[in-house]
Order: sequence, then structure tokens, then C-alpha cells
Amino acid sequence: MTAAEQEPTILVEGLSHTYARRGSAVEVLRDVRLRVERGAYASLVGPSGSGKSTLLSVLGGLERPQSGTVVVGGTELTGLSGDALARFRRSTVGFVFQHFGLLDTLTASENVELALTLGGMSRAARRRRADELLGDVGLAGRAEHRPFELSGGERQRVAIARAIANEPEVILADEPTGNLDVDSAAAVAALLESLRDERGTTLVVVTHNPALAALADFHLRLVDGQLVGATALEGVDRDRLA
Amino acid sequence: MRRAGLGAVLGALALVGALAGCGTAASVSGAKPNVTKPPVVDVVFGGIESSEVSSRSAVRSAWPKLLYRSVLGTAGQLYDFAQPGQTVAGALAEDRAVGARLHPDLVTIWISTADLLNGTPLAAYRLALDALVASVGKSGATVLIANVPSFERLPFYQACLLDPSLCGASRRTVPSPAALQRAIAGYNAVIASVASAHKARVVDVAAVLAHTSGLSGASISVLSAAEESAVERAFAADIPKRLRRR
Amino acid sequence: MVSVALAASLLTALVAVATTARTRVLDQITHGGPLSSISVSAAAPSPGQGGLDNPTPGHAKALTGAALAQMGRIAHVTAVIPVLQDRVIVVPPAAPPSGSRLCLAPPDNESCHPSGTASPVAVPAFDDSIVGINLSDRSSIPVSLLAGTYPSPRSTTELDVTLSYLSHLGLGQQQASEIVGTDVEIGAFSVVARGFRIGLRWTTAEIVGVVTQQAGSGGLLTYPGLVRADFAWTAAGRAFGDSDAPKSPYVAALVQADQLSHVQGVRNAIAAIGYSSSAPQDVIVSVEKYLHVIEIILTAIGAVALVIAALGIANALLASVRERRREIGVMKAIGARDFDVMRTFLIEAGFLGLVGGLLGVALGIGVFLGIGSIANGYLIAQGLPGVPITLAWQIPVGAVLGATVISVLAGAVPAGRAARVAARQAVEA
Repeated sequence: MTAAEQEPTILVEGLSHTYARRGSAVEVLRDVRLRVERGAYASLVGPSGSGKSTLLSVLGGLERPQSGTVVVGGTELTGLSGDALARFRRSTVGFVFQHFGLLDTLTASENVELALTLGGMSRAARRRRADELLGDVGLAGRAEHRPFELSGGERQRVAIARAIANEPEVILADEPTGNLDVDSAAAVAALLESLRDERGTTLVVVTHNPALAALADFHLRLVDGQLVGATALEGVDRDRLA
Repeated sequence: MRRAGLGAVLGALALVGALAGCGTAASVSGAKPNVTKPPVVDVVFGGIESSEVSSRSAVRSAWPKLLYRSVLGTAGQLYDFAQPGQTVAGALAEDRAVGARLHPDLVTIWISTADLLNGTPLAAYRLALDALVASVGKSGATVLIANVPSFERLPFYQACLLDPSLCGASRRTVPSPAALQRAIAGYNAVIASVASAHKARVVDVAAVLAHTSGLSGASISVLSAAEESAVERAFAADIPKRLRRR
Repeated sequence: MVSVALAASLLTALVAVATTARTRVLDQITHGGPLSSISVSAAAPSPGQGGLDNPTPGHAKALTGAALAQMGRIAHVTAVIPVLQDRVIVVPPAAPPSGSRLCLAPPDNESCHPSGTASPVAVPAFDDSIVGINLSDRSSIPVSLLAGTYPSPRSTTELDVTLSYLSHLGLGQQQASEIVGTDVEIGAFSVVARGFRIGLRWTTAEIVGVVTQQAGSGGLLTYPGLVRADFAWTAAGRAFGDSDAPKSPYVAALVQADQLSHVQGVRNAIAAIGYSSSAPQDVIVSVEKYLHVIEIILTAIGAVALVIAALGIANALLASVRERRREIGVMKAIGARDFDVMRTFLIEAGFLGLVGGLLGVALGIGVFLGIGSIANGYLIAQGLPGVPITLAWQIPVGAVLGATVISVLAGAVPAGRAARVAARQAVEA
């Protein structure tokens, strides 16, 4: 095991975050500390408005941390420029949204390619890689379909293919099964789990879905901007990750 | 959106192209190839019968013009020296030089009326006609000489009998019908012999006009339209094929 | 995009109409010749009238070949085009071409009906002049074609006629194309012997077109060859004492200056050689000023329309940015930089402008062609030559480029706003 692998994929120390809302400051995160090891699967739960989205945004580089230290995939996010944050999002994290976040005008393949385009890959290589990724998520025959021609579960699988296109260390999923029926949700859950198992990807999944949450190695719970519950790896076979 | 936009662009380009195509529809040139053959030069020596200047309508209908129009048209040039009162001696003196310089391909001569009215002697008529034909025929032109028709039946002569000033002659020189008949016979003999000497052709207008009423002319001084075209046909019949362009 | 298309079409049509109207008005002043054309008369200059556009010519003075050569050597002169002329008898055809329903008859002949039932009385011959000019460089001569075509160069058996020839035949301009293909006989006079013995030289030419011309005064127009031969026949009469026969076939000459500002200098030099000249330089300068103002106004109307359309684009794109905040957030979440987002919106704005511009230009060209054909119909009905309906390529290209550039500029604000949309929008409810 190398030194880099011993480093946790996500390390958060003393993160606080405040929003100005209707003239007054609202503290959405308060002194959050978090450590997620490489290849772990963490579920993040909490009541609405508890700061789940904000934490996910900060972890994914969608927002700059206001205080404390946030290190994800070896990148210290505090003080990064806008372009550096974009680079970080492109290479280190992949997002999966409840609303899928696919562009309606593009085909499944083009949606996946979009992430690769931003990474500067050549056209032919992009195309090959997108086909490969769609094959991986079980959508080999659906490459030329537009989102409205796909079922919810298929759309989410396209979104997952896009999220893993640049081989990120971390997948951040925000209610990935929130808009899906039970069968589709199960398929997406299985797919996410396989990412961890087969690629060693670290997963942080915000979910209300007990089945999805049950797959997690540990559960994080946000209440009023404060993290309660497990902050360390529990019940995960470290050897499997080595 | 992207596909629809591309279609719109292509459609617009096609429309612009189609419009551009409409704009380039140039007027079709109706120009014919240039006439490369040199024009046929037609020279007319004549008196009152061939004259075009007595009225504007005559400009259109005098037989030399009809002949030119039917045989040559754009392929020819017509030099018209005909004038009322012209005698052979006059034509020889005034027009021969210019006429010969034009190197004509076709020459028509119908001069006899003024000579008859002025009493030109046969010998003088022969001398002048011979010199004129020799001169204008030198360049190898086809020369057509009209003979003298039955003069007394022509309206022109009838008018001259009534008022000699109409013909520019004094009463003394207008011959009687009988004297005229004899003179006509003598002139026609001269015309035949001069023509034969110079390989010219005689156009028998006497025969053409023999059956005219003599009173059908639209005016007292010119041939009727029917007579003009009858004379024209008689001349045209004697024009060799190589000079015909129509 | 529709607003851009309409604005671009408005701009194209207005500019095209303005440009064509300008050409038409200046054509009217210069009779179809170039703006810097000087008309030299076969006359001496009148003292003190050198600065006038149309001075009264002095006494008649033969325009010789030597004088024309001298004018060709004046500085800033690009061309000297001699105008030849000869008086002729004209004999129109006695009958219309076969198959034609034309009625060739004197205008006052009541027996002539267009139906062709009555047999018409032939048009009498009439006196006219035949004008000879080099018709090859049509941009330099005051001649415009109404029907048919121009005679072939060097042909001595083809000519064009003017509307005065048609009116001799009792025809209007509407029938101009029907006269094409008929023959006309041309008789040139000459004194061929002392005592004013007249000889006539007849030639026949085919009418190949109908024109308006201000080069010389005559109903027949052709290349110089035919006129030169007729003139030689007429001038030969001088040898027999015809002192009225002209000494020179040239009745006028068109001298071209290289630019409008050199016209006065060239005219002074022509006066020094000893000839009177005229040029519409003062009129052109003042008319050009007014036309320029009209052009500016029409262009401004089109441009304002385009700017309004651009504001429409900006507004539509701003709405689009508001609607697509989450989509923009997703783009950023998968790694798009602010610049990438901005570029996407600018490209979209440019694309809207380009497509709108292309559609608009196509529509504008259609409108212009429509207006042009209506205007030409009116002009022809008034017996005036039509306007050439041609469009300078710069106008449509400029309109498309303008629409695209203005749309991109209009897209700048929405694109900037899109770039500033927070990436966090991707996860907001």
C-alpha cells in the first residue's frame, strides 16, 4: 500500500458555510469534519435544508469552501481559482443528479461525449470511449437515442456513464434514484455499487432510498449543518481495497 | 434545435443559390454569324421607269428596289443612278465613272424613254450604249439591258402627248405614235446588237408590258405596282444563280 | 431569429433598392454613360461658357480624326469614343415578319388594326440619321438596350433602332421585341455628278435590338463600319461640288475622364484644342449628395431594425439563460469552465444571427426582385427603359455578416450572465 493510497480520498476539517438569505446570514454547515477512505461508499442523509446539497457542492468543487480545509482526491479545494475548480470537477469528481442533468438536444452518446470534449479528447477517441461506457452501463443499443426516448432508469445510467467518463476518483450522487421506479432504482443502485467494486471509485450518495442507503459502508447524517453519525470507515474490508 | 437549425441554414443557402441562378439568366444573344462573303454590288442605270425619287412610296416599290430586295437584301448593296429624263449619253457622262469604280457584280440598264422623246439618233444611241456597257461590264459584271416596250401605250407617253413639259421635252420632239413605233424598233435592234457584242443579256420588258392596259398606272409618270413587279420578275429571271442571295 | 431574418431582409431590400435607385437616377443624368463622361460637339467653344454643364456651342467645326487623337493625349483621359453619323432614307419593311401580328402602318392609318384583319398601308420611307459608335464598351456609352441585343461587332448588316423608329411605324415600346428580326433598308445620298445628280447607295440591315441612345441624334444605331461606308458615299459628293456634304463623319465624341474631379480640367484642355464640350458634372455632384443622404437614411432604417432585432436576440437569450440555469450548472459540474459556457452562448447567438441573416437576405432579395419587376413594369409602361435588376454581392454578404456580428455582440451580455451562473445550480432543487 502506497502513501497516496493511505491518504483518505475525502478529508474535511472545520468546514463552515454561510449563505446570505433575505439579508441575514444563515449558517448551513457548521464545523464539519469528514474522512472518507478510498473506495468507500458513504450515504448522506438528513432532513431537507440540513445542508446536504451544500456539502455535496463543496465536495464536488461546485462551490469554494468558505472556511476550513477540504481535500478531495489529493486536491486542496480552498482558494482554488474558477478554472482550477473546473479542472478539478472534470478530472476528479463525477456527478449524478436526481434530475439526470442530460442535455435534451443531444443523444445519449453525445451527452457522454460532452464530458470527454471538455477533457480535450479527440473526436474519434471520444466516440469510442462513449460507446464503451454506454456498453458498460448496459445501453450499447441506445447510443443514438435522445433523453426523451429513454426511460428514467436508462437516463440515469447515461448520466452515470457520463459521470465516470473521465475516470473520477469520487462519484457524488444527489438522490440518484429519487425519480425512478423500484426496478430502475435497484438497477441504478447495483450499477453504483459495481463502480466501487470494479473501479474502486469512492461514492458519496445523498439518498432517502433505504435500499440504496443500505448498500453504503457507513452513513453520514446532517442535522442543522452538523454531521452526526459515523465519520470513520466501518465494516469495510480494507484488504479488498488494497 | 441544432438539427433544425442546420436544416434552416441549408434551406436558406439553397434559396439564395436559386435566386442567384435567376439573376444570372442573361438575355439570349440573337446575333447571327457575320456575313463573310463580300456584298453583291448592284448598279442601276435608268430613266423615269427605274426612278425612285418621284414619290416616297416609289422608294419602296420601284422595280430596281424590288429586285434588290428579292434577290440580294442584306447580302447586297444597291447603287441607284436612275433619274427621270436620263439619256444614255447622260448616264455615260455623269454616272459611268462612279458606277465603274464600284466594281459592280450586277448592272441593269433601262434607258430609252428620254432618248426617244429627245430624238437621239440611232447611231448616237448605239455609240453611247456601247461605251456604257463596255465600261461598266469591264470588271466582269453581269449586265442586263432592258429593251424598249410599246411606248405609246404607257401612261407616261400619253401624258407627254397631252403636256410635253411633263417629260421635260418640247412639243416638237415628242414623236407621233407611228414615228415612235419605228424608232422603238430601231432602238431594240441596237440594244440587241450591243448586248450580244458585250455578252450582256437583253431583258424583254417589251413583252412583259405588251399586255398592260396602258392606263393602269397609279400615277402618270410611273409604272403601276403590277407592272413594277412584272418588270422585276423579268430582270430576276435573267440573274445568274451565283448572284442570288435570297 | 425571425426578427433577425425580417431585419436582415429589410436591410437587404432597402440597401439594394437605394443602390439601384441611385444607379437609375445617375443613369438618367448621364444617359447610361459613365459619370465622368464628357460629350464633345463638332463645334467651337463659346467664350466664357467653359464652366457650364451644358454650354451653348459656338460655330460648327468639323471634328477631325486628328482632333480626336489630340484629345486622347490629354492627361486623365481614359478613352475617346467617336460618334459617327450620316443622314439616310429609311425604308421600313412593307410587311411584318411572318407570324407576327404587328401592324406596320403609318400611325394615322385607320385601316390598320392590331388584329391584322385589314391589310395595312405600308409605312412610307422617312429621313433619319444613322449613328455609329463602338458598342463594345457599353459601360462607357449612353446607350441602353430595351429589347433584343446589340449588333455583332464589325457587322455591317445588323443594327439597333430607337423608339423614334418604332413611332414611325406606329408602334409603342411594348411591341419593341416584335420588330426585332425585321429588315430595314438604308439609303445614303450622294451627289454623283455636277448639277446635283443624286445617286443613292442602298444597303439592308437586320434590326437586332431596340435601344435608347443619346450618343448622336438618329433612329438607327450600329457599329461605325456601316456608317463609315455610308458617310464615304455622301462625302464623295464634295468632288462634284456638294459643299454641304460633311467633311468628317464624326458628329461628336465621348471623352472619358478617369474620375469626376478631373472632368473640368479635361474640358478646359478640349476647349484649348478648339471644341465645345458638355458634361453633367455639377448636376451629378449635387444629385450624388442627395442620393447619399437617402442611402444613409434607408441604410439607417435597416440598421435600426437590425439593432432592434439584436436586442430581441439578447432578450431571448437572457430568458434562455434563466430557464437553463440548471443545465448550465450541470455543464459546469461536468467540467465546463466559465469561458466554455460563455462560448456556447456566443456561438448560439452567432448561429441565430447567421441563419436569420441568410433567411432574411433570401427574403430581402425576393422583395428586391419583386419591387424591381414592379418598378420596371411601371417604367416600361411609361415608355422609359427599365432598370437592370442586379444586386451587388457585397449587399447580401454584408447583411449576413452584419446580422451575425450584431447577434454575437447582442449575445455578449446573456453569455456573460450564463458564464456567471453558479455551478451549484446543478444541485439546487
